Amino acid sequence: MITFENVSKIYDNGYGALKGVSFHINKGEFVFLVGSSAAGKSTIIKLMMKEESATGGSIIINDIDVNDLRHKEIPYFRRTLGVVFQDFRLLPNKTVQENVSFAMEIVGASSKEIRRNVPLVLSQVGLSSKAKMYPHQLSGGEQQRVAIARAIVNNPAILIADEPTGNLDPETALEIMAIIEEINKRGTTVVMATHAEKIVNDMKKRVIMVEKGIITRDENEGGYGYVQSN
Amino acid sequence: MFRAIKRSFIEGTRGMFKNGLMTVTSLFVVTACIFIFGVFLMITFNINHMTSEMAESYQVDVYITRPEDADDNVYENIKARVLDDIRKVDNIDTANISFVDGKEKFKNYKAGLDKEDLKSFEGLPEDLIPDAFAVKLEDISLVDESCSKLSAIEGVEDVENSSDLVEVINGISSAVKTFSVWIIVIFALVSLFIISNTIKLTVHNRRKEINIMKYVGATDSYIKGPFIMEGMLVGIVSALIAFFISQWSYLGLMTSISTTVMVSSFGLLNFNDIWLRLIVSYVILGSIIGAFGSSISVRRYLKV
Repeated sequence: MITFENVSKIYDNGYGALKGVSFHINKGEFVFLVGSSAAGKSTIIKLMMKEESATGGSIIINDIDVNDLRHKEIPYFRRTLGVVFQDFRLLPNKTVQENVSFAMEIVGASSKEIRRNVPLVLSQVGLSSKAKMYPHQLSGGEQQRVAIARAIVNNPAILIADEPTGNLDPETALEIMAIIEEINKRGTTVVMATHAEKIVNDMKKRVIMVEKGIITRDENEGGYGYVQSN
Repeated sequence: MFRAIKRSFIEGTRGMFKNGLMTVTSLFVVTACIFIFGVFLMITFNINHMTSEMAESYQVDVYITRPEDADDNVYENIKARVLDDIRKVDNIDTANISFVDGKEKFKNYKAGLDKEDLKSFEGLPEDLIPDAFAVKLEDISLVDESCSKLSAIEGVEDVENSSDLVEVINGISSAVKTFSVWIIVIFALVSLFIISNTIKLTVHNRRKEINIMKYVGATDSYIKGPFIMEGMLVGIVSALIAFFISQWSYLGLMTSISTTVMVSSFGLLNFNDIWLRLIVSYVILGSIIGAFGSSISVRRYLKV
């Protein structure tokens, strides 16, 4: 599903963010990417989304060689991924329903499909009653649910979450994680970069630890604390 | 496809109204630019019209030599041969060659003179003016070349044309055309800059939205659509305003010429003859400038 093979990334300013990173993630896996700030987690996410290009090595996602993607092919590749950010990135002038249906419009879904799928996805994240509300009328947790609904409405094979609980209180963070776990149980591969120690420790999923651009640990049912003790 | 155009149109119109003052400024400047472009376009249309009218009435007279000892039969043969040779020359409108009887021409000329002037013609032979073939050219700009070929024909005494006039007209025409092209280029660039700046404002205000669209998998054309439509709308509305100003100015000019110079229309084309070409050119120019201007502004936000 996702294969990084000896991937390196040197930014234009000469900063080497990744130095020969290799890992493989199978279909349906749930993987936490952990590590301190500027360790290289965000670079991995950016490379997965083809927001940046690798300087060396190969990245294969859904049988697609990401390095070889041409500019015109990138949008179609991104449609196979769902993305959730720490800052939600919702459109403030659109309602909850419009924020979600907008992701379907972009991929050219018919009005009929949009009318059918959007309510389903909103009920999946528990927001059916708030479909007509605007983002500023919602709490942080609710806004993140809208972002998740938007990310999964096109049935992506992979959900990439970059610090999705970073702006939320612990209780709301757990609610969000429950939703993401549910999505994973339905077969979607989840890759989540996070600093949330408690969540990583509680969920006992695979943990890939990145430090100074290299993978220092790749452990099934791993925890966050193991790292801190080093 | 239709849905994408509809969406671009709705969002483009919304963007236009949202930008308020900036849109008004763009409309003002782009209208002025298109109008100035139009002035030169109208001048070019009229110059072309005058040149082609001149070309239609322009003729070259090819005079035939009648040897003193030639009887009518021999002379008829010479005329037929000269006519044949004229037909073989390039750039000659072979369907429009007419014979001009020299005696007849001289008689008509004298008929137009008063008694005083006629005295100076007394005693002159009737065949003072030789017979000629009046020839029309397909392209009057090649008059010198064609005349030298006509002069070289055996049996031709002289070739008469007003090539100086043609040169002057051709010179003016090509100078106006060159100048018009430069004016059009300069004002198109000014309009491009103005529209591009207006759209930049919309694009900047919506940069977050563009960023999200990119992450969700929107193609560049999906994102560009509304901005390009907004630029095109500014261009088209400017084109229409410029058209009405042009119409008003042109008709005003024609009226003032006919009342002050007392010459109706003064050889100018009627507005009815040019309005369609004018509005089509305006709208095409406005749309292209608008689309291109917005395309420039949105490009750098699409790199994500």
